Amino acid sequence: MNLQTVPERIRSFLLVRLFFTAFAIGVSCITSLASNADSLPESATSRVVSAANSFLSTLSEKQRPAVLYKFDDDKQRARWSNFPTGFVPRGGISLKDMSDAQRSAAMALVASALSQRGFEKVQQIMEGDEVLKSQPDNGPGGGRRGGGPRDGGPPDRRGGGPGFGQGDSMFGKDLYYISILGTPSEKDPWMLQFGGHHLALNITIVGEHGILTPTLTGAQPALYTTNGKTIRPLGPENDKAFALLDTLDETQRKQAILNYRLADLVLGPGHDGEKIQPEGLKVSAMNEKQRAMLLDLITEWSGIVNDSYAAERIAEIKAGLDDTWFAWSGPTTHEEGKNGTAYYRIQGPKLVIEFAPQPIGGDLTMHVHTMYRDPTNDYGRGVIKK
Amino acid sequence: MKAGIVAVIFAILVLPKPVFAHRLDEYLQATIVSIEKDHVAVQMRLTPGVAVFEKVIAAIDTDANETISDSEQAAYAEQVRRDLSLTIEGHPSQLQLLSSTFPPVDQMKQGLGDILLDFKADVPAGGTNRRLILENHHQSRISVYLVNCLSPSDPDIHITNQDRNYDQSFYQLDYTQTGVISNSLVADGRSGVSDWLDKTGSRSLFKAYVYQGIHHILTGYDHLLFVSALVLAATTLWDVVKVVFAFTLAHSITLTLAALNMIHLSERVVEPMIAASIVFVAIQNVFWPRRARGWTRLFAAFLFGLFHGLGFAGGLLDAMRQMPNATMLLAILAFSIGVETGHQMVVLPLFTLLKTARQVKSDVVARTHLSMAFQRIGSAGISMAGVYYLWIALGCRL
Repeated sequence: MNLQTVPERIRSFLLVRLFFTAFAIGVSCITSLASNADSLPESATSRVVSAANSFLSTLSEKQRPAVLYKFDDDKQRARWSNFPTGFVPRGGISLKDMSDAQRSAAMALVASALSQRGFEKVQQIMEGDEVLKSQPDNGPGGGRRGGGPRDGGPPDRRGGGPGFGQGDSMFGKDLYYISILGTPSEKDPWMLQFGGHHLALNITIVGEHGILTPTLTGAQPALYTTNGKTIRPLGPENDKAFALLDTLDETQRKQAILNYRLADLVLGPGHDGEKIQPEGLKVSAMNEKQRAMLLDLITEWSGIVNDSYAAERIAEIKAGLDDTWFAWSGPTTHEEGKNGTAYYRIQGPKLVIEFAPQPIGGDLTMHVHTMYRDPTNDYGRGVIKK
Repeated sequence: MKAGIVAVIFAILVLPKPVFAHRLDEYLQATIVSIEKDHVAVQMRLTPGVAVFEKVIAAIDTDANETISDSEQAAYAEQVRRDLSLTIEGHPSQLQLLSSTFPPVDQMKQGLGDILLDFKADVPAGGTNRRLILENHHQSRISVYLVNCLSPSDPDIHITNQDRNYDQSFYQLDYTQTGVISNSLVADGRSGVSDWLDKTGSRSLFKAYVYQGIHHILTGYDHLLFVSALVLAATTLWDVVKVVFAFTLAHSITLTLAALNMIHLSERVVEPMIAASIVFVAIQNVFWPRRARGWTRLFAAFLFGLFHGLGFAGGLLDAMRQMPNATMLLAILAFSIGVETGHQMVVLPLFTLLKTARQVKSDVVARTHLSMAFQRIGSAGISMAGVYYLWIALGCRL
């Protein structure tokens, strides 16, 4: 069509339409770019910081100081244990003392720092404590094993709460405490703690690094049924270890299996930074399949944190794999679908994992404590020094 | 208050299926040993469970006033110290209490309190190879023990072996301590190699591994039987030198490769092969005495030497693998020299004895017969011992 032949009015109309069309396209492009910018992948730390700030914003003026500690508060840093909170009080506030919204925000914060599988493991440990609570034989009493901070409990910043012999229930999925050391930041170091009976997550965040050590996980009962589903919170930690043991030849087994009883964790609470002489079978004497199985077993701990933090961790574990040792004490078989009764330890230059079945409850297969450490970087001290 | 404790214990014992969260009925004694050049530190963490609290506190709070006075703390620490036994190099060593921390009685009553005791003992000056034995008999009827050694922070100290009994009340720690320069050596004029050894702090390590090599051969009857069978067939010193060299060369190669983790062969193969090597050379000596000299014998010594190299002490190999590569190669060299020295300590007297015995007869023909008789009779005995070793080695597989 020749525009010269089009009447002036129609020509003006078409030009105006053209202008507005171009304007609309321009605006939609800019909007689209802007929205794309919003959906650019967030860093792992920014997501955790954002979740932390969201959680803190739900707290009342009275609650917030109970959750926040100074980053250099080493007493609070070490205030974790395998014991029920009724025996070893934790710092921070418990899920029990939160509103529904606060509890959701707290769990969202924990979830943001963990992988999907890691969060699921944490929930299964907590649910296990709920099952333990419902068992009729749980009476008051005392415990002995494992330990907690030596300085006693934290100052009572909540004006009451669970204490020794207060008559409060010792178990349950709401008796898990959250605390933050320092100020949530994408650059400066800070720390998220979440724990209670059989759980102590100590996550130090330094820029893009997320350090999970030291962390304790445990389970009692180690097997339970909920909503018709059978749950083994630390089942893979058991099954993968036995599967690895089964692949060892006679010479390897002789080295891996220790000739003495290990009744408990060696590097449980209170043993920060200790590095014991390794024993057992050195990974350099394992074949490729066995090394892959060991790494897969290690990811049950290293993979508790979100994928971004875990990738860095597994890379450093791989770097020291040749100098890593696998030691075993106890029976070499287990009933399928249940935990065994053997202790094992994986120890490398930057790694200690212990898996220690516990006799309390009368059945070693139903009660286990595990420990996950990096003696060179517990609480991120190695990274912070740099 | 005591009634409360009794009630708890009663509940624990009487309830049909106790499911309380933590162990109650044991006294956990976790010990960490830390080795330094001139002393050893022993830290004990004692945690009584609720069910044994009464028994433990009775030994601590002797006046039963529910507080632990300074004098009661000191007395209990002394009680524990007396129940420990520490020997270094076979000599009893005196542990000194450095510090003690006791938790409040209330915490202990809950099964939470840790008693911390720090001891120290001087390590006497002495050789490079050290052996420490720690025994703990404190409250043995109610206790469970854990004992471990911290990885030494001093690069001159290397743990070579740890051994325990089943309940860990007995703990033996073997370690080497290098970097200690002997005064007599300092006074001597030294070669360049000697200077280098001292400068790198490796002289003591070298000596330690030479000693380990000698010790290994003199206590390794399978190696000794094999070498003796080689010597029985040798008629001249040159024959002896050749076969022993072939054997040493071969086992040094495989030992090095094993320490570097470049080869790995199951004990199920190595042990029977070592036993078979004894049987093979001994039978060759008996039935084919002429082939027991010359290239066939050198080849056999070398081939079987490869397996003997893989049969050296696993614990020592583990210790070597923890060393930096240069140090490890030095340790292997020293160990091989020790092995060779150990061989010569057996081979030379044996060969001299045989040589002397063979010369008893003046008649040359009679001498040859006598020599052959020594070779055959001695080898027959060795072959029987070899068959026994082979039986044991194969028996392990059943």
